[in-house]
Amino acid sequence: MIARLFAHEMRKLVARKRSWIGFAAFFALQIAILALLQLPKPKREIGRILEQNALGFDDHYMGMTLAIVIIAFTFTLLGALYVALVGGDIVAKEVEEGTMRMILSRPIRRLELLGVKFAAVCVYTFALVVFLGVVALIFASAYRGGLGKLFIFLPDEGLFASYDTWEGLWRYARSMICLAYGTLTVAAMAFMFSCFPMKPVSATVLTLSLFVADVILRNLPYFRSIQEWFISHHIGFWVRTYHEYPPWHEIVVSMGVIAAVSATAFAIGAARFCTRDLKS
Amino acid sequence: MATPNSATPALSIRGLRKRFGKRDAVHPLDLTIQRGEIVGLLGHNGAGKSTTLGCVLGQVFADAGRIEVLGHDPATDRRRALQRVGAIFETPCFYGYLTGMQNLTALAAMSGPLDDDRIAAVVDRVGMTDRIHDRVAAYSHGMRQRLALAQALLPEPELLILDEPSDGLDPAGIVEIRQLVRELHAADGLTVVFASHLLGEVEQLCDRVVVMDHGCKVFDGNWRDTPTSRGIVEIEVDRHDDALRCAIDLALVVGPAPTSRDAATHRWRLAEDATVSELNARLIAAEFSVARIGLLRPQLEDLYLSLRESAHERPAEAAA
Repeated sequence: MIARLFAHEMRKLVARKRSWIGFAAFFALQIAILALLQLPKPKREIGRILEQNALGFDDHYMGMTLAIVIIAFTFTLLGALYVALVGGDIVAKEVEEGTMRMILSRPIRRLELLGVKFAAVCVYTFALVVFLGVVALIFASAYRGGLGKLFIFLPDEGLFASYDTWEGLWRYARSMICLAYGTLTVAAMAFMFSCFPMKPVSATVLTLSLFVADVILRNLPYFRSIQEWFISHHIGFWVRTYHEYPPWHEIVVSMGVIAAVSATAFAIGAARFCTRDLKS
Repeated sequence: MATPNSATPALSIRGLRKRFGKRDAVHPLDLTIQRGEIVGLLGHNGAGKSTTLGCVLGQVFADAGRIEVLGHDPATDRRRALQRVGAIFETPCFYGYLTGMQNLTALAAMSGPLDDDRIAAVVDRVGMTDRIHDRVAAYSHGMRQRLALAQALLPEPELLILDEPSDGLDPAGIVEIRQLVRELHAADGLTVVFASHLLGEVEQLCDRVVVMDHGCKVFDGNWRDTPTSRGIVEIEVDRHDDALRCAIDLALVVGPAPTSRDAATHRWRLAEDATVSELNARLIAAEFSVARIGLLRPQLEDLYLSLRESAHERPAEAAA
């Protein structure tokens, strides 16, 4: 029964136009970034960084490096937005539109229903990140005529690394899975707010407000020493997998924090929803 | 725990109480509906009908009391309590971006295994076969209401809860819903709880009505068998006051009945052994001109309005 419910939940998610906004937006954004990178000035800037580090422009200014540039600078906020949009809708929209009452006249338990909905949001989050990763790689490779070597340079993270094609591709795939896992926190927060008596848009806005506030606070120079207190620090653990010797202890801690925060958000949301009166 | 069987009431409510903030939505309410009954649930907006039905379906959590649906408590054994219950609400809400069939299969998945033949049979029964593969966004209100009925019938219900099922329907749609409910009741012995503002509909479907007012049950019984509608004559007569006095003197009439509709037509309450023909003959013999006389057909509206009047008088009496 749960499998059937999950299949129907996914069908609903797929059939809704809103679910596709994130895919369409990233698709368009990737094309825009690639077009802008064709301009001489940005191209020169990347070339300068590569040359300063004695890395060949033609080897490294290729599909994989550009894909990482696209993802690192677009997903953090935009990804959160689209995941929060779907997560914020998943329960609140059904309550708002009245379909929840119809569902709750059936013999399904509320917790079962929430479990299925949360699973659907998690699958959506993974699908969005995988889509983004694959499409970025395909577009950037088509644009530059190949995957090339992977070059990643993020000074704030103390990250500077270069890998040849297969090593780079493996690390790229692994980092996308980690990014999807980290983004679950945003999905779980949006889901939690969606379980409260509020409009779907409020659930989305609240989630984004919390997330953006977290990013802002983390980036204040005074709080650098307590970075690990902020959830965005842990969500960003996918970047750390690109270190030549990834800090596995830190990565495992971040994964644990993400799991704990997501589970707590689900539990709070479920506790609220399972004790809520639903009336027209 | 006793195994529920056909002797168990379809619905049993004991001491149900629900508050929203400072407002009592349902005062302690007791109600038993036996299997096979069609019961009308009446009351103005905010009387507590929907809250009661919400508690029955586990959508609203009661503050106190015990509910048993088909012998099971929906609060603790939701699956068994609601397995054979169908429900419709005043505004039929579906996923507009899915087809009617996709909506039905999605809702059917929540009731347990259902085969395609059962879904097709239900769709056919509500007359939706031609449009079931269209998106619900393109459906009229009447079609949505039929789809709502279809989803309620999917689990082969023993108890059907209809909360304003005729709301917003055109006259033909209202008649169709009524006929369908009658058919289901006749064929399957379905128990039906019919909450509606359309007194005419309730009157045609239900013998037993439960009237709620401010969260309290103010009437529960056969509405045709009430003092407000028994032994009342409607009469159009000249010199009305004199005629009434004469009829009372002749011990044919007890007095005027409370609800008269217009100035020309009056209602009198007949004495126990008196008949309309005898009253007519005696008035004519007493040289009154009787333009029209007849026994009043019992009307639910009269009962409902008299209960409403009594309900309004209660707070005034309490204040006095």
